[in-house]
Amino acid sequence: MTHSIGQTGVSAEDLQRYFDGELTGAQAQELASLVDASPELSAEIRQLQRMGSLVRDTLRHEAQSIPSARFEQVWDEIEHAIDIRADEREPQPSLWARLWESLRPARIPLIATLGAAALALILVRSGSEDPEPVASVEPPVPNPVAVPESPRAPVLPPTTAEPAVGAEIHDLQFGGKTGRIARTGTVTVLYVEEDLEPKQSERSL
Amino acid sequence: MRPQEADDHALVAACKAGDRDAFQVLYQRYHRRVFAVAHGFLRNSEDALDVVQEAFIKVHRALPGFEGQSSFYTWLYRIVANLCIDHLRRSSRKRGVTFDDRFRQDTSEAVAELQASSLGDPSRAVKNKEIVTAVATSLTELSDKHRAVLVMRELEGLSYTDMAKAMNCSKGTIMSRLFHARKNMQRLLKMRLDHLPADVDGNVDSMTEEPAS
Repeated sequence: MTHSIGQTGVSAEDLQRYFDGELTGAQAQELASLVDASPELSAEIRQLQRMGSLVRDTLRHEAQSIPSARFEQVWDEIEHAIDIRADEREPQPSLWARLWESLRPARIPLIATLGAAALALILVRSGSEDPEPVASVEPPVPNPVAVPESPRAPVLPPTTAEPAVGAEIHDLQFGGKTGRIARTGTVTVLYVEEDLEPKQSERSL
Repeated sequence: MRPQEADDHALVAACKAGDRDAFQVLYQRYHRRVFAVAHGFLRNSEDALDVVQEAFIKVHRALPGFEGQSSFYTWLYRIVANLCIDHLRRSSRKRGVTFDDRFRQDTSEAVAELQASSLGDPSRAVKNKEIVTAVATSLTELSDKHRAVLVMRELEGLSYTDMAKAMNCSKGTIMSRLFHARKNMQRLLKMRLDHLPADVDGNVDSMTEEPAS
């Protein structure tokens, strides 16, 4: 809806746009000429100026009337919010790190106590158990007499003694029979079977 | 150069480098101006102070991304205007129902300043007081949208384009709102000030005259 101002033929909307600096060059110049020539339009422009001035002054007076202390309180709140955000941005330590940090005053006594307890436990346990046999380190002993296992091999009687290093076995009991093993580099093993038809086998080792 | 004397650009650069003092200088420089805008929009001192607080917190967060294509205050103003518009959208306050007693007191203090400049002329002081009260009350009685465009235009001189962006509407809508906001303001002021004599300052009567139409 167009509101024409008096007999000027200028709409109130156009005059407002001119007043607010929203008209382009040619339009602005044309309206400026009309305003200069028309007391009615000039009065309208002055009213717009005065209203703007009153609104501006009133708002500024209101702002000036707030005590500085109130704005300082607002600043404190702003700083607080900034600090909280800064804390949030820093990486949070893990639960263990926080626990470790909280134990800082008691750290050394705690470590000393735990160490002493562990030592005492070790001592108590070692005192209550039988001493383990000391393993003797013996040089590897080449067994001069190797008796290969055979499913048909007879079980030696427990009386059979292990040969000592370098010893010659001159007398072995095999099921009541006797034999002899010579140290000539070749060992001959006799397998004796209790079959009805005993057979002999030889094996060079 | 002391921070208080530094220009906005230097202060913004210092803020980006983590200088809290520089940010405080920016706050001290603009807090009342920001409050004036917020109070103009919201007509409530505590709401306006909340917006001041929220605006500066937002500015501090967004400073690393501020490239300085506009002035610091223009950027700050946009943030404040958007916060106020959001606040008004959320607000369920009814026009003319609420009147802030604090504001009434503030207005009296503002009038005291006018009285001090009245050179002891009682009639002039009374008239100034009535004018300030009338303007403040009339602003409160305008619709949120009319008041918003009036404040943006009269206090900060925003263009229609900038106001349209801020209020998320067309330029034509802004022009129409501003036109009606001014008309309503004139009507409200005339209603309140019509009884005043015309010879003091020469402003009131001419301002409240209904324009010929």
